[in-house]
Amino acid sequence: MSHPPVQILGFAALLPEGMLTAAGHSPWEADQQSVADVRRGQVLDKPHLNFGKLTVSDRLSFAAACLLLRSAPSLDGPRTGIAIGMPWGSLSADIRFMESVVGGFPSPAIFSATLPSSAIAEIAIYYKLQGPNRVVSQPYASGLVALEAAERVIRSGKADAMIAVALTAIEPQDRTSPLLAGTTPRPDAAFAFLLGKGPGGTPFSITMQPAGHAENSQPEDVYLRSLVERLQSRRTGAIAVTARGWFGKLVLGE
Amino acid sequence: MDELIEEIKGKVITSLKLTDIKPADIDPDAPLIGGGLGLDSIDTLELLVMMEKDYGVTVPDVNVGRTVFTSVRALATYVQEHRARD
Repeated sequence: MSHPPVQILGFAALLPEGMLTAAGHSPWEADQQSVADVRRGQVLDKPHLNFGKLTVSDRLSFAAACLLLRSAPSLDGPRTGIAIGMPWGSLSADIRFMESVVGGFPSPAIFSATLPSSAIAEIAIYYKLQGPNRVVSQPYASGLVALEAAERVIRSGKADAMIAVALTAIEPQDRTSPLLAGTTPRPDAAFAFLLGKGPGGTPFSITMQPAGHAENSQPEDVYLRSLVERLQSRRTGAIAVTARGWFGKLVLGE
Repeated sequence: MDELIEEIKGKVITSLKLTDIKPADIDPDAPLIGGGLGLDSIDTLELLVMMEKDYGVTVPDVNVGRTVFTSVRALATYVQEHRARD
């Protein structure tokens, strides 16, 4: 049985050096210290009162999706889904909520963010998307596995388009948390890809496999950056992935 | 009362993280919930926590709550009345 080809129809990235889309690169403003300082007006043209309420993880995921969809074709809501990979899930919200409990005044707003899928809800509600959704919450290769999950959903016929978001960020004050002991925090970044059946995109496939110890493994954002750079420069070819605990391959072009 | 209204406007903005809103944007007599601020039930709960934490004021039941959250002015009035007693 032949599978419909999947294409990358668009991409966006929030990186330490600025925002990147197919249209080009926009540096952060002078008073923005990090990716976490992304402002609503930089990714959305209309006011969105929920934007400031979001946790850093949710805000970056939402912002990356907004930046992606700013220049994307209109989507078929019922046939468009969302996949998100976030290495720490809702850890930051969990920590913040427990702090509010210990402080004697548990926060309902933070509690509602103690779900890794809360960012999916925010994107789905704003863009009226009703397709399948996937959350990948694991310390390594979460974004790449989410990208693979999104591609599989389209190949299975359950959706015509998927927004795949890969987040490598965490709230700044949590970087020194003992819960992250033994891990190596990466620069804050959020990547978003629009996958679909085309036309006008770049043919794409991805396979990810769990593996044991891998020599010369790289952090996931290295591969995501490489993918974005190839899309921007319209280069095709394969990217071999060796992330901690995972092997994989991304192929751009036929 | 005007001072308390302005103070509560500020607390609504900070506690609900309404980064696109300034105090002057909030009409003290406009509906607080379901109005132009886009507040929902979670925001209502957050405001209840703020009232208890910052003013020591609680809302005993939903019927009182319906009156309290009619507007910022109604909320400020309730805080002023009950803060004096507590």
